[in-house]
Amino acid sequence: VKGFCGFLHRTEEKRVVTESEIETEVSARRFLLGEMPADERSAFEERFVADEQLFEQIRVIEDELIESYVRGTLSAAEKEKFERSILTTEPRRNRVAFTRTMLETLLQSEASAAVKKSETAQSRSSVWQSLANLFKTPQLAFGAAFVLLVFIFGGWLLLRPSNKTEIARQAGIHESPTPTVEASPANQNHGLPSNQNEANSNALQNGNDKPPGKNQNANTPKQDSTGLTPVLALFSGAVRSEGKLPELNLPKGADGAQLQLNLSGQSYQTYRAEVVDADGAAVFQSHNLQAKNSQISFFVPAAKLQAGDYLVKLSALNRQNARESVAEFSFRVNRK
Amino acid sequence: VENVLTQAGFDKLLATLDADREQAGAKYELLRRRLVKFFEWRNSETPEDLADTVFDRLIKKITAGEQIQNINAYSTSVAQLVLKEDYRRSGRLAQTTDDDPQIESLVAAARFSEPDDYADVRLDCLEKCLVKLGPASEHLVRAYYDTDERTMIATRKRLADSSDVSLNTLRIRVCRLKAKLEDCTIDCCQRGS
Repeated sequence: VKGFCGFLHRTEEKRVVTESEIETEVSARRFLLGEMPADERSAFEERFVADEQLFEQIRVIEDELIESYVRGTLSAAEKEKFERSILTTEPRRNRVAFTRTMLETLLQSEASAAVKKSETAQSRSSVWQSLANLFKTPQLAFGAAFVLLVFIFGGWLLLRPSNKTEIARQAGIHESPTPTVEASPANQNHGLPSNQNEANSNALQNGNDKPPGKNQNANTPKQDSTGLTPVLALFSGAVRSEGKLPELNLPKGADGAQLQLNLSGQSYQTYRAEVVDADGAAVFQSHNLQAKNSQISFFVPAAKLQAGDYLVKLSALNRQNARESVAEFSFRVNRK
Repeated sequence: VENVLTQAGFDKLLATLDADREQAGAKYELLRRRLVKFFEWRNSETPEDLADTVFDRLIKKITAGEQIQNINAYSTSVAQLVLKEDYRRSGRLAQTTDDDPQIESLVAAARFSEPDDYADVRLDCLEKCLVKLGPASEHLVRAYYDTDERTMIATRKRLADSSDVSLNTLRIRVCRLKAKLEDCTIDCCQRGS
């Protein structure tokens, strides 16, 4: 009973605190957005200079207003008031800029981690799929078939009765015990030395990790296991043979898309990718990107991608610390 | 900025804040912090300088032998006066108006400003400063902001529950961490990463 009463007491306490918080929150928002009449504002200022708790609360509300502004969730009226009251001085503009940078970084790193996890899971589960893909890809099919033939032939060489045994058998001479092995497709690989097996497996996996060439369905979105983050591989200046742009099919409910930029030429320490729409307006930016195996991946939230054509402008700082254009990638978004 | 700060004057100010010198020092820091934000929230371009001006005037009064009963209320009145003087000096209005062309251009600049070429350095600094917060705080900041608009409230409530604190305590905690992160990032950028 004591515990139950204690629970009630805590709940009751929380409810009272919440009401007072709501009242403070409303006042703080009005103060920060410049909505308070002079008299009320003056009294409110006196209160927060004396009251550390209220002061902290206003700081929280200010942070949340800035966050909402950066995330684009303020109403039109609030947004206008915010811009007129908060964006008019440099210290406060800097705070908005910092929040923007922080959110972009935190959201981007989380999204990248999620995609990486999903890609790892895919690559683990699809060694056989990779093998099948090798034969579907014209450039690699011949090589893969050749490697397979070499293994089959090697296996046959290892497992067949030796020439010496064959000659002796034909001559009716029996050597001391020779194990006989039935060569069958199923056990040919078992006859290979174990390091050759490993090498074979690694070769297949590495083949899968390589970026697809220009004609290898590079512009076909692939879905991750949840279906919420399509990945689109892009190549500088690439337009499909029929003159169409690479297309990103963004399903309903998708969080966004992972764009994978394939690079050629000089490499830089870090890159900046800017996504611009058909009117040339920047809709999204991602900073501090690093290339791995000549590829750069970054996440674009679905809210930034409406149906239409887009261009990714990739730039980087050169040794003179001047920004220079590195490459441009076109693609089309279809919303489904 | 007026400058009447002497050791004797500052000691008198501290004595007005609290009989215990250590406590007085802490109260001075808190009051200064609130005054700086007061000026920032009222759109001053130089909030720190104006907060120092308030303290200069307080010291002047105390040194002249005036008894201040409520230092917080008195400081607020002085701050409001200093702010009005600053508005007059800079030719700005206390309240912004809809057709103020200066405000219009400032808003436009903030809304459409091109990211500077030091953005990469800033990001590098931000990552370093996140690590400097320590593993638990870094995890908290990442978990708090790693949410979209639809699930934000639920995510943060869950995070507060799992940390066994109220949502409001969590908000204040993250707000302080964010301020720390911002200061660290600015400091790092000024040092050139």
